[in-house]
Amino acid sequence: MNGKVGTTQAAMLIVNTILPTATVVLPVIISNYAEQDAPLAILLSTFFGLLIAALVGSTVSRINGAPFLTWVGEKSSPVIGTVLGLLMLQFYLDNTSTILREFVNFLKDNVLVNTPISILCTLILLITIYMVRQGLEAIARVNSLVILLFVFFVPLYLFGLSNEMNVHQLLPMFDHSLAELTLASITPTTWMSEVAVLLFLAPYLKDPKRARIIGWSGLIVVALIMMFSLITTLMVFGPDFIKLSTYPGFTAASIVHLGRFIEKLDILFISYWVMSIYLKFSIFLFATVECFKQTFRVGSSRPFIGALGLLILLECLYTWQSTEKLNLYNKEGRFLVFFLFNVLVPLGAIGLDRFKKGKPKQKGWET
Amino acid sequence: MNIHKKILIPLLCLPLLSTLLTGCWDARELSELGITSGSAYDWENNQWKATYQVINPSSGSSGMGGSTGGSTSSPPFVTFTVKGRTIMEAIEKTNLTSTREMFFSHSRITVLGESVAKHGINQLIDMFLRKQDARETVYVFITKGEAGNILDQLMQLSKNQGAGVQLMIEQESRLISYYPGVQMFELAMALSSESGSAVLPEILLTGTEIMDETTETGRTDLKTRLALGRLGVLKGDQLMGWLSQKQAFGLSFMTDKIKTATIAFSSKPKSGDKPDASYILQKSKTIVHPKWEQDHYVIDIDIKGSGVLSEVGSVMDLNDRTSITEMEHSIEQQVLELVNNSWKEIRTLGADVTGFAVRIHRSDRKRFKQIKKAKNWDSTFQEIEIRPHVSMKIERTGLSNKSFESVHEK
Repeated sequence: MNGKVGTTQAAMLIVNTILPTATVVLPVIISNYAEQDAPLAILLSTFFGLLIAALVGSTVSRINGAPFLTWVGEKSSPVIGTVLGLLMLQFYLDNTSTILREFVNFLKDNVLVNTPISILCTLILLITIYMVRQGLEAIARVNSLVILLFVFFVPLYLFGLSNEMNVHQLLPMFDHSLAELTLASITPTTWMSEVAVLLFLAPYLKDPKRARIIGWSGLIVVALIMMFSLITTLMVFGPDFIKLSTYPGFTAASIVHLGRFIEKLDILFISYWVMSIYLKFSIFLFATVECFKQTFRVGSSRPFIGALGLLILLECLYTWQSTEKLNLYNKEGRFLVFFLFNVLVPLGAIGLDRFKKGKPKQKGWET
Repeated sequence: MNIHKKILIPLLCLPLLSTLLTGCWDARELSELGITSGSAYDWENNQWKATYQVINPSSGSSGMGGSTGGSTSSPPFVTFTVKGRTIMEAIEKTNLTSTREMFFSHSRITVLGESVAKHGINQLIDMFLRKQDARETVYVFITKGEAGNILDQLMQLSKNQGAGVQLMIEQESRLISYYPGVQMFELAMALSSESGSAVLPEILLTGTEIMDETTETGRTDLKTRLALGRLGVLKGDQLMGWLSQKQAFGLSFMTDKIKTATIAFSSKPKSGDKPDASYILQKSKTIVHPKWEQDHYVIDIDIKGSGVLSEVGSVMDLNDRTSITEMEHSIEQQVLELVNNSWKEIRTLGADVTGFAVRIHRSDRKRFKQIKKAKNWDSTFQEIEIRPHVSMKIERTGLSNKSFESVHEK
């Protein structure tokens, strides 16, 4: 079932690896620091994101499609490989459970107010386990179709809000100091660093040498969509109101109207978002399972998907019960953890590879 | 063994199908919902007094438009008035009297009584932005007396009163532009902006008697109708005062909210100021440019418009360019007067409904930051000098070249 994924499909996977929760969580955090300068913060974080993508891409090119943790074990020692695997497994379990929590929190806030969280989590998990069992290729195909639906949703959003948008709401530009912009760009950079999921998708890429291109193109699309979403929301609500709303993008969608006959379209946009976050969740569950497989060197991960799912479910239900705790983690804690696993780990892998290969020959000095 | 396995697995999976029913926790039957089309809030004895207008599904057509069928005697909507220490407590109390659960997603209007506007409306806005089924696109109005009375009044040409009032305000802002309709999110935006002020159109009953029986709407000329009145001015979250329709019209020019408008003016200002001609303003654009001069801000307000002449009551040859120029000048004077009158009243009220704070922040952010830091925007606002420049063009003169008054001159 696990066929190989092409470069374009992989880039689209990167888009949905980052975008669904980014559109929900980031606007409030960014605009609290940067207000109308929020687009600049996105630019800044995209720059850092592209650097991280280059780092991850280089790592994937070097390991050339081999399982990452196995490669680390071979290059260093099996003990280091296993220890790193255990730590990364913990990281991916935490990350996947926060995604699930953000998913259900959003559903509880907006649509299914009375449905118990445990039921929502279980159902979402069962569907996602089914998706993961179908393999990455199937996820990538569905993902491509979901991304193509942007062709319908973006113009609808744009035309529906055209009367409400005021470009002057973006003024004055450069009103915030570099320190404020940097603070605003830290959390989006954290999200962009999720491109590191490529480390675990590498064995399923048709052309792992192009991992850098995959990361870059995925991130550029994410940045463009984030910019689009933030700029339109800012033009509609202005920098002050946007800070009040938990989900400004969806609040904007709720005032989309075409004449008097099409109004209150937020539910349509929410449905689309639900499709995308299912894909995000499945990609992360897939990466978690892959991490488990490589750490414990099991031949088939299929029997373990359910067990890992159960762990994620329990963590989601009991560790992230409090919304304030999750918000605080997103705002302040995530950066450190993500920097450790999404930046330092690939950096360490490159260092290890260079160390093993020894110093390259110095060309140009020989006569 | 295999057969047992084949039976056992589906049996074990069967309970899992129940998870597909997760949506049922939130399922609501249409017949159990009370769809509100409007709500009104008053502040009475330190309590919120909320009135909800719920569409009556059993009402049929009764000369007020709409589809046929159903009972003609029952009113198109019913109202519930409840009290509570908080708004939600009041809302929940409707369940003590109503057979249907309130459903707010289809609300069209919200009316605030003067008592609420004086008490403060932050709590109400918060509820609208926070509550999952509340609609932030409802049009908000203010009324001098008790807001609940407004929702009791029946309308003749629209069965759904909430939708009818929505049409009224949309039509008003599209055709005469005295003031724009204000939706809940726009109110929240205005109050949370640097200006911290907002406006709300007034809705009122033209008579003393409330027409709340379906038989009363059978008359051609109702004793009491719903009408749009002045413009309420809010600062912070409290009512500061009112602008008359003319002053509101001037504000619309200052804030670039004019879509189409009719201006009555004197066609021969030298002969007298009495308006005897009308001009339909079809296009209008206002550019506001603040600048710092010595010790205060000067706001240049450039208003440019064009339109068509629709009525002339004096002897006039409309092929003569001088007459047209004279009339354009007269229209410009009218607009200038509107703007100046409006500004005078706004300055007296001390509420920046013009959005000058936002404009100044955009064009002079350093000085604005200082003003904000020193918390002296109010005094800065009082010292603002406006310099309106108006340019109006008569593009067409309609289907007649000479005024009909010229016939008698012969």
